[in-house]
Amino acid sequence: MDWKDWATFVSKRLAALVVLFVVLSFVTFALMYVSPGTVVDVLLAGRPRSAATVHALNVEYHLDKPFMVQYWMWVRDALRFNFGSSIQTTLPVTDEIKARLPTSLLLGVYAYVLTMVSGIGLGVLAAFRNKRAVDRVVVAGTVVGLSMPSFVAGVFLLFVFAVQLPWFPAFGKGDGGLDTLWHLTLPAVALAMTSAAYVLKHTRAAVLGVLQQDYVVFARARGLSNGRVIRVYVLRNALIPILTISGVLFSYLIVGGVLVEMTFSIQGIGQLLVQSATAKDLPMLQGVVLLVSAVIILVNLLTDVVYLIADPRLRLKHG
Amino acid sequence: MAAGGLDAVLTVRDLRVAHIDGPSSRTLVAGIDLTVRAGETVGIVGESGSGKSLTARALTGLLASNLSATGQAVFEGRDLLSLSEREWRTVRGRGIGLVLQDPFTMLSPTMRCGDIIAESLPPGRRSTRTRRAEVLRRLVEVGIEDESVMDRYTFQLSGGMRQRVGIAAALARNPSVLIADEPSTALDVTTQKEILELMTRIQADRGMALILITHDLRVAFAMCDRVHVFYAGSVVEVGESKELDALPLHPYTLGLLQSEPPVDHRVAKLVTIPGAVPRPDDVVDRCSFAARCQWSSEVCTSAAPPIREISAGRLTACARIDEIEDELREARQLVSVPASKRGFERAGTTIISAQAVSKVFGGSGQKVVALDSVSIDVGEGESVGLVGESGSGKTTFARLTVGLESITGGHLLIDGIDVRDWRALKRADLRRLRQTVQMVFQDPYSSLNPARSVGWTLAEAVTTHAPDTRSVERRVGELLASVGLSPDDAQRRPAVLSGGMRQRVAIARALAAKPRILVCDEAVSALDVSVQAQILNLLTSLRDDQGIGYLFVTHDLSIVRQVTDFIYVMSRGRVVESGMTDDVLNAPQDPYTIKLMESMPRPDGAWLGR
Amino acid sequence: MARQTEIVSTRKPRRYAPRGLAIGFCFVVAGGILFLAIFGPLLAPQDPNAQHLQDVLAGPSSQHWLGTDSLGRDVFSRTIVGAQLGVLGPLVIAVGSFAIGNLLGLWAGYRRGWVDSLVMRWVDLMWSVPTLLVLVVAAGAVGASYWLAVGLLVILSAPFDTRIIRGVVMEQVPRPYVEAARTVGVSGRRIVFLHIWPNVAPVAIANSFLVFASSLVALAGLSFLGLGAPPGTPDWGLMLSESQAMLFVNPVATLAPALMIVVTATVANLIGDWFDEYLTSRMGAT
Repeated sequence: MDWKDWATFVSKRLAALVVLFVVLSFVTFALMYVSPGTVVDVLLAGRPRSAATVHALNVEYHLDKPFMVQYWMWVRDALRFNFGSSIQTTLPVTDEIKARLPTSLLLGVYAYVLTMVSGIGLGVLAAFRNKRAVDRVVVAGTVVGLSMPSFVAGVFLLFVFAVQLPWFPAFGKGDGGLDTLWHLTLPAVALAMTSAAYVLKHTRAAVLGVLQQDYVVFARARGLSNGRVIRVYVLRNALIPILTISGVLFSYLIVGGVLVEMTFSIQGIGQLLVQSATAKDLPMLQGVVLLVSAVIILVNLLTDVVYLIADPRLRLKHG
Repeated sequence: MAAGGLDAVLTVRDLRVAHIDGPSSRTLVAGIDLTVRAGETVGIVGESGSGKSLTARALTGLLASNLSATGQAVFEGRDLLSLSEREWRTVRGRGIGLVLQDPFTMLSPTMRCGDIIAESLPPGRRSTRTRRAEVLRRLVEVGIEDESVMDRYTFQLSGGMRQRVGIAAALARNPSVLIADEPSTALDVTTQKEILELMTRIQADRGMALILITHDLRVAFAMCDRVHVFYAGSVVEVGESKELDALPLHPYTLGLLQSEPPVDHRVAKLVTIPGAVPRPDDVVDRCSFAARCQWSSEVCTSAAPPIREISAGRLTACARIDEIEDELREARQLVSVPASKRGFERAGTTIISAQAVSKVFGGSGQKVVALDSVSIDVGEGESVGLVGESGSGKTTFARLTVGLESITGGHLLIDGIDVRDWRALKRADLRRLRQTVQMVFQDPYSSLNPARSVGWTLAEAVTTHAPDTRSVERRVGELLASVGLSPDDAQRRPAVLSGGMRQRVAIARALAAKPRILVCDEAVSALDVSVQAQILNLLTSLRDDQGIGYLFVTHDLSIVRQVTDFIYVMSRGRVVESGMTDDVLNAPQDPYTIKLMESMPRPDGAWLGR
Repeated sequence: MARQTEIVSTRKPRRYAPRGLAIGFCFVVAGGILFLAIFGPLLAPQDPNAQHLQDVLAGPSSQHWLGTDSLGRDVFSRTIVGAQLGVLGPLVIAVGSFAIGNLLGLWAGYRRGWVDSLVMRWVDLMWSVPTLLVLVVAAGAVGASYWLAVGLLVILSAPFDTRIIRGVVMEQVPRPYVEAARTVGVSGRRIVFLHIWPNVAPVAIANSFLVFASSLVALAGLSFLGLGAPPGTPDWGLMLSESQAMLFVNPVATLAPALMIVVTATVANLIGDWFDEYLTSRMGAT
């Protein structure tokens, strides 16, 4: 695959992305109209209705213009990261998101690291100790882990490590630095549990599959060291299929993140999402949805590119 | 066994391999003796389940973790079977090398060929340049002069090239013994010969000992000084190639030799071995071959007969060899008698008539021409061979005749119906075509639905063609009987049947439509030699009894020789030669046919230039 | 070419299914939960919605085996009755998505062409969508509703089934047994439903159990966020969020519904794995 093929690949994907974004933004915008009641009702959200407030809303949201024009103006604003202001707080949506994003990102990255380290590590270990005690314990743990939603895991962790053994704080995000990490440890573990089980299950299956391959037998038959066989043959070939699940993994983390933030009362994006959904704060909801979908789409694109780099068979298929 | 002599590099005594499943264990290899001398080529010949691959794995310490090997295997003064994994690493590659069967799976798809060889070189620091030069030298040794191969991934190479790279990697640490496990089986016949020649040359140049594992007696005889015949997990006979070929001293070896259709003449009827190979675990207490042997007596089933030396270097496990040696000699000589020439003229009505047929795959993008203006006729009651290697288009043609593909050019007439597009045919025409041509597929393991019983599959075939059949059950029974199975087999699922039985069921399914032509697409190539002969005889008798005609699609010229009257030789989508089978094979005209004939394995060292 | 098929390893990796006693235990637990789901309201010792305001946040006692919640409702009774919503929704989702997934998967995998590309575009789109997020947004826009969530989950789970079944079907189609049926003249519909489907069924059935487990978790999560089952309903997810604050006071009341969620989902996952292995080995398929 030379640069031309790369260019076509990336531009094709980018084109698809733009289309997807247009569809997504339209659906997001339409949420306002899907909601029961008129748009003004939605935006008032129970505040007293007066001619002045209605007029103000009409001007702010261009409600007097045709639907498509409203959409266009909304998109133009959204592209400048302007989603209007929250109904609850009347503060700009963007400010609220900005204030909460770092905590959520930190939680996500923390959980991601935990997921990868424990999922791949234990998965490889279980595969190499296939059918022995270690493997059985790990596999049993996987089944429970896969069946345990993050909020349940969170409650269990709270019960053990905050109530019974008061080692960790029960809620909040701490005051920055190590304190934040300390506060986010239980949430991150709760969040990583399901995704780690998922990664573990796939890693184990992939490694077991690769271990059966002729090329591993042939590598050992040539007297290569164990370390080399594991690194160059087993891991290299087993981790390619693991890459394909990162899209699913990512949505696990987002969903889990919402639940975990609620469980541990962490002021992050997930909590914001649920609060605005409960309060029917549509401008806020729209802002969060667009942000999260953008992140998901970009991560998926990134995964495809990495996949292509990692697997020469895909890269050179037409070469 | 002869004590092995002082020059023995590898001495195996009573090697046993068992499958361990908790407290129970199942024997897979039941006591094998083997001696390999320096610079010698030793053959291990056996059908599937004989334990030959397991022996190779045991001798390189690469058995799966649920298999255990016991016995003794002395190499360079150490017992291999008691080595630790760490000690094994000093033996593998450097002492004993291993080449596997399938070049398509043997090399990692994520590595470049040069790196695969480079990592296999003896340990030690090298600059990038010297390493590259060394890798190149190794590639040249296996006949690859093209330097760019180093930078290619294995999936960018042909099967033959991959196997060469594999051999170079296996030889990188200069082993004193190389074990080659079916190194050419997955390859085309012409490539097979190249690989075998290459290994013969390398073995001679390096003075290395070579253990060749193969299912093909002809290949073993051509390449090896001595041959061990394996059957159901034990060695039944050992001897020098020439002697073994001239006079087998075990009924199984004789049976194998008789089942193997000769390439240079037609025999009246292939002699077959009845039944199928038993599981080693079921025959540990008796002669493993007793159940299929015509000379079997009480001695054979009372205890496992030990292998014993008859004359210098000649061993057999047959307990009754003294009594039956003369009969074996007589039977061996009988096989070599050619059958009388069959009178044949292409006079009957033509059923399949292909005129300048072409088939191009792929739409607007990349096009692949599978068939390029091919003209082939198959007449009523004729047996026609279609011969070629993979990529020749022979299978594509077979698929055109049964509606799995449609032509893209030319004319295809079947029973007078113009088959341009199978999907556009009228229902009545389609029905008639189904009852004219039916197909038997290559792989009996997957051509039957694993979820359905034999009876279900056959009943469906019966009712599809004759929905008003009154007694479907009786018809199924008749079909089973016609292919040599019992009506009771109807209840069984494919998983419990042997390969040969499955192929019989597949033939019965095709016969349900009462076709006039049976297309056999490599129908016996996935079967063991002894079973292959059974199926070929069955097909011949069906032709004699019911007048069915055949289109035999195969790569194997010796099969074509035995069962066809007329052949077409195909290469790269074209028919390069056609004519009466004996005429074409006796005096091939086209360079490709000549090469194909030369590539057919012959049980003679001269074939590989030894 | 002739390939020798010798047994070099008889090991079969991939799933790890429970055997013997373990699977028997799973079935007993599953049967118990199903029994509770059907007869729960009859079995509960007390009215799950009755508020004993004099007895708020009580610990376990002979009268209230698992204590009471902040409104003085009997946690034990609520946990038992909670099985109903806990099982019903996921069951509907598993069955619905099984039906849609099998039909679309068989169709797309066998016919290929535009049907396939259309179905796959839809599947790809749905694939990376975080399920719960859609439910939350829908609840935010339209209002919280358990059955709306169930309906959405059918649509969101079906691509999961479709993709897996299509994959297995595509593995089966080029197999000689399918081609053999075609050359015998068997109709396309018969091939799809009587030849291919029985070989796909183990995967499809096993997968349904996984869908059951994941929708149980998703619905419980939604209720936990207060956007699923209406307030006051005995629902495990809702109970968990209502009683989470009492973790310090009466932990049993919190842990009981949490345990039910995990046990039910675990058992469903294990039975699914077991089914796959059992059906596949019974067939002796490759």
